[in-house]
Amino acid sequence: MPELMYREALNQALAEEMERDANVFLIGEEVGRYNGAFKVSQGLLDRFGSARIIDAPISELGFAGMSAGAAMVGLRPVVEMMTWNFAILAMDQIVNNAAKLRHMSGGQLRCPIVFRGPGGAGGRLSSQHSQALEANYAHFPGLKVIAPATPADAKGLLKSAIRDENPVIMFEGERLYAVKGEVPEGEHIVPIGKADVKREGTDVTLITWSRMYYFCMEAAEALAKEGISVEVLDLRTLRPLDEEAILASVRKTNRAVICEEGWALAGIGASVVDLIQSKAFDDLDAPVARVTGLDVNMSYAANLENATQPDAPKIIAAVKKVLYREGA
Amino acid sequence: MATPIQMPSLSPTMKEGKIVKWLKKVGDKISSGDAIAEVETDKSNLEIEAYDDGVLQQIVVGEGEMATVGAPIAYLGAKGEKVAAPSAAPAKPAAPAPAPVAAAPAAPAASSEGIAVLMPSLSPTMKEGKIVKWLKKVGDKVSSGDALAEVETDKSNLEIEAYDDGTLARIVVGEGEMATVGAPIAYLAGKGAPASAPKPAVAAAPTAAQTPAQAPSAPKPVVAPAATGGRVRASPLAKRMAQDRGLDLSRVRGSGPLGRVVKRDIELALTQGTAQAAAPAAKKPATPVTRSVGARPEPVAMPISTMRKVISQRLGEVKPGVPHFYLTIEVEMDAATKVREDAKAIDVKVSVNDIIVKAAAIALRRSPKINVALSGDQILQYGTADVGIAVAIEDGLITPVIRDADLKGLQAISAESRDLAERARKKALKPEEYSGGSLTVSNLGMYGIDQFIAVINPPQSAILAVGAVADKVVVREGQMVIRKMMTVTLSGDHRVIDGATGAEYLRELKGLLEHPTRLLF
Amino acid sequence: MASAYSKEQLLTMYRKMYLLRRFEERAGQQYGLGKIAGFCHLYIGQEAVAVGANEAIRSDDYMLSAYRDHGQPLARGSDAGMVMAELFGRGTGYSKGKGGSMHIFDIEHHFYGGYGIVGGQIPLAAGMAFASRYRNEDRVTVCFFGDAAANQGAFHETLNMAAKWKLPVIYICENNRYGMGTAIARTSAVPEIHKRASAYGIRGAAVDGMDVLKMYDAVKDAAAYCRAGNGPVLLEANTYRFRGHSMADPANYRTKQEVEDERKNDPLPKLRAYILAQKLATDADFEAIEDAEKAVVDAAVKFADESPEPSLDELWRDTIVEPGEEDVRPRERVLGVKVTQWPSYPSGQELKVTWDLEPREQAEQADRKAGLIR
Repeated sequence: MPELMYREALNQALAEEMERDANVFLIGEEVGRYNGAFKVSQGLLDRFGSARIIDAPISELGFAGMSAGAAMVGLRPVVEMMTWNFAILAMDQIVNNAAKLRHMSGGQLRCPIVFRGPGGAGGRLSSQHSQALEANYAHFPGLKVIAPATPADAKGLLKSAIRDENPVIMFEGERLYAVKGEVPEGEHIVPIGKADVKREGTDVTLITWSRMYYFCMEAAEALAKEGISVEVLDLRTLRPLDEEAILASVRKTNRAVICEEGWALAGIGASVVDLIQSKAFDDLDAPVARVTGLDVNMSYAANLENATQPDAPKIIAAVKKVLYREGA
Repeated sequence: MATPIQMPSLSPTMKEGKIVKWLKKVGDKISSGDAIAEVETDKSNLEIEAYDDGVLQQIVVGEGEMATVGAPIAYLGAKGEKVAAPSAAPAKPAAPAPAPVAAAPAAPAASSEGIAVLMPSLSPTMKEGKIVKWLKKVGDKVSSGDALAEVETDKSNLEIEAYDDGTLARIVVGEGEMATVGAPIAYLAGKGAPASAPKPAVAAAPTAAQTPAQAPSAPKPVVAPAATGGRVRASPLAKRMAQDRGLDLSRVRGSGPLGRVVKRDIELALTQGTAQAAAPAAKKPATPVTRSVGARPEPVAMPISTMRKVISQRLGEVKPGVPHFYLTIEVEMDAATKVREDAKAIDVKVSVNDIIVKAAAIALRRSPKINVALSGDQILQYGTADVGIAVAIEDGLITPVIRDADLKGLQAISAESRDLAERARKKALKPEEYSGGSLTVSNLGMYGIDQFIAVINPPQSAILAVGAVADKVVVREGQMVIRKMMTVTLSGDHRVIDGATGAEYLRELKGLLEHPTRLLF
Repeated sequence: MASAYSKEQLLTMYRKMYLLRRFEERAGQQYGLGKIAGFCHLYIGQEAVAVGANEAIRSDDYMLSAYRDHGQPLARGSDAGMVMAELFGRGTGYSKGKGGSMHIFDIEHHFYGGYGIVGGQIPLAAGMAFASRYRNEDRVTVCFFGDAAANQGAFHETLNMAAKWKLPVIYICENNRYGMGTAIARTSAVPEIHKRASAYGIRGAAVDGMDVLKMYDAVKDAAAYCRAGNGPVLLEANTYRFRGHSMADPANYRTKQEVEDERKNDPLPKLRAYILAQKLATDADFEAIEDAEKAVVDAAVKFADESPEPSLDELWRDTIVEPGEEDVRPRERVLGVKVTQWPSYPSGQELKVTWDLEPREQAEQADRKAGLIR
């Protein structure tokens, strides 16, 4: 299986889907002649032409809404947000139009559209450009939200998202684009709504997604050396949550730690904890712990930036806490 | 046929409107869209427009008068047409069949019903009121100022007065039912108008405007609350495993934080056989009940009164958790001590505490208002007098309960409490042996403590802190004499009981202890 | 002078305007009786705008609007009873009672909805027009919005894109002078909305929105311009609502005299006078039309009132499209009629995209101009 970078996997998914379906087009800032701010759309303008790879003005609300309108009448837009920080400007179109068209029209309309772009902390970009915003979108019933960690999942989920009949929000990792991994060629589909056990274990379940997945794997490796067997569950889809997979893993290990890059209050982890306590209460041997970004804005200074985010040592400490092995 | 012009709802919250000014007079020709009257709503002054062409034939609601939404304010007809009898007019809008929710408050067939009597706001905090009693019945003549009904608010019971003359035509909110402030509770027919075929009051209550209070009928037996006093800390998983395997959790040593029993402790206990002694249905505790106490009535759940709800809420704000209050009383224990000595003489071992337990139980039976517990949004009224006894054990405290202590003899109570205490120290009590009851006796007299304050053991509502019996100089009939005195302090849960209730109970208890022969009755 | 319009055209316009007027009058009445709730924005006074525009375009052209949206679908030919049922919140409404007054959708008649966020529909309209160009269709999209929406970012962002990509969309600003209670001149540096077209180099014009024939002419002309690939048009229809912004609005921000004066400009008597002057119809003809439309609206109210509320199962439908789920066709669902006009789109394998949105030479020319390449 060829090894690709995360951005190359996304590029492959886009190219394959655009080849398969002429209704699919990509619009966004710098996606065309610049070849993509993060090089996800490299080479696509030459291949598909200017009506299908569209350089948009810096009008996030405008082109998000325009694309939703195109989706209302049968096209399948993929809207690249240069980063999700900028998409805050487009939130009205995503939330009040795309996510509600099916409902407001009583089932007459559908809006098959993908909004995708990088989320999470950049590197040394301070507060406006470093935030994990997926919880905002996971809140809305008319949306699906995906956040793949690996190149293979990035390809498979983007293909699913483009084929989905609903608005799909895709959080890519700003710092994952250069991560390499094996990616199946051609028709590789990862279904939306399915989590993936990336590492099997018996003592505790680490639940995570996107970039935090790599810290969780690092923590699991380190803990294995101490004889602690960690199961790592990569949610991949944040709405709808894969309840079955979460409950199955917790029922097996009886303990859980949830790691998310975003803030704790009203975070996705909070909903996962709620799911566990309400549906697997009698399987718990310890309270569920969360490792989240600190409840502050992201700073520019390197030490402050690092301290704000979760990392492997913080995850290891949380795992020991739920195993009652503090100080061990 | 003349069509009614109805008072429109002009804002989402509007319930009635006042006609400020008629812009057309009777006989005027009217076109659809014409403004015909100015009306004052809860939000602003607006114009009422005609929706049909015709001639204004009759004005029903004059300037300065109010009309509820949906009530006819005028009639529109073809030129020269006679106005039909008002009662026959509005066929369309009254009583909406599928009753869209928004329409409900406006809808209760106000059009032909005359003057609505609305639930008044009788206190600054009142949001709804319960009709305790109707003081007038359908068909009664009513004059302005007459008391129509008695209503229970969050503060007190008050009377609702009529503001109009007329005849009570229909009762919308029956006795025992609730209505929000501003909702119609009855309709008066205007003076002279015959009370249109008085309908049976409650049966006619309309759809959804009011929320009738849950009828306090059919009290459901309430399951005994889960273990609380002296609870064993265990993870949910450990609890489930222990239950599945018939393991007594209190015998398993917990290795988690604060001694929490976790999965590995259960596994260890199972493999090492430490749990053998607690094999399922092992030994029956030798509870020497000397006589059958018959069927034990289950506690009865009662709805909390509006006032009780507010008290409990307010006091809970001041003292979060269980808001305690304390009452202290001195009891002369000479007679009770004599009982113990009399028993000893016939070789029966009875402690002062056993006497107190029995007295506390009988007092509970006689003061049922204190024999309660808060359970969610209901009050449980116990029909049995079960008294907890606080037992100090090696690493804490547990409160086993002596059931039906009011029915048991002193000897039985004594034997039972010794057995319970002994097994408590061995941590061999079953959850059902230390749950339930409304009151606990905590006695530190043997440590020489004169007086102390105890913390209530929820969900119980009271605890008695009993001090030592000691000789003290007291004044009796002007003389200083020496008596065996004991101090009892009651802590009460102010959410469910009040000071006066507690005082009454202590007076009862004091009487029983000072005259122990009463314990026989 | 003989009329430039056929008798049939003129009477159709009158009939539709009368239908809109009567429908809204009864909607206002039913709101007063508590049958309709929430926000309810009536179209009384503005009928000429929707009717004139609708008669000037094809039935397969797209149309969408803001939340004052009862008039346009009725002009398109929607079932009055089902629109009223939607207002009543009944299961027989176009959106099963889920949308209410502000969200009328009738896709069969190519009416793509009423939208509740001011200006929110403006980018959607550009996207629909984009799809027409993408698929090489000669369809136009007509998008209505209020005067206050012209101060939204969505308006400016969209006009820029629509102009740059020459999208076939006609934006019709229904300037009724007030954004709720605030006169447009009080909040706008340039209150003549059509002048803003010049900022994006597109065609813009003001139209008398109280004259259905002038509306018809202007939109007819704009549609031909759009279909020819010349890009978007911004029309400012100067109109007036005789009622408040919504049912709860006492309209104290304008004088009674102003309303009285505007009523003299009522588009219905104006068209009627024109038709009578042309001797194309008699008073009796008008009475017959009005009686017929009154009956239509009476039946609509009756239909709505007798319809059941939506079933609670509906709560769990229409949020997410499940795999294989078809779109709901309201008249099939409610009335059991066979719907034939439902839009269909070419599959991704059939479709050939020939549009070159930004030809290479053009892009390079722009680069040269900017001094980026030599």
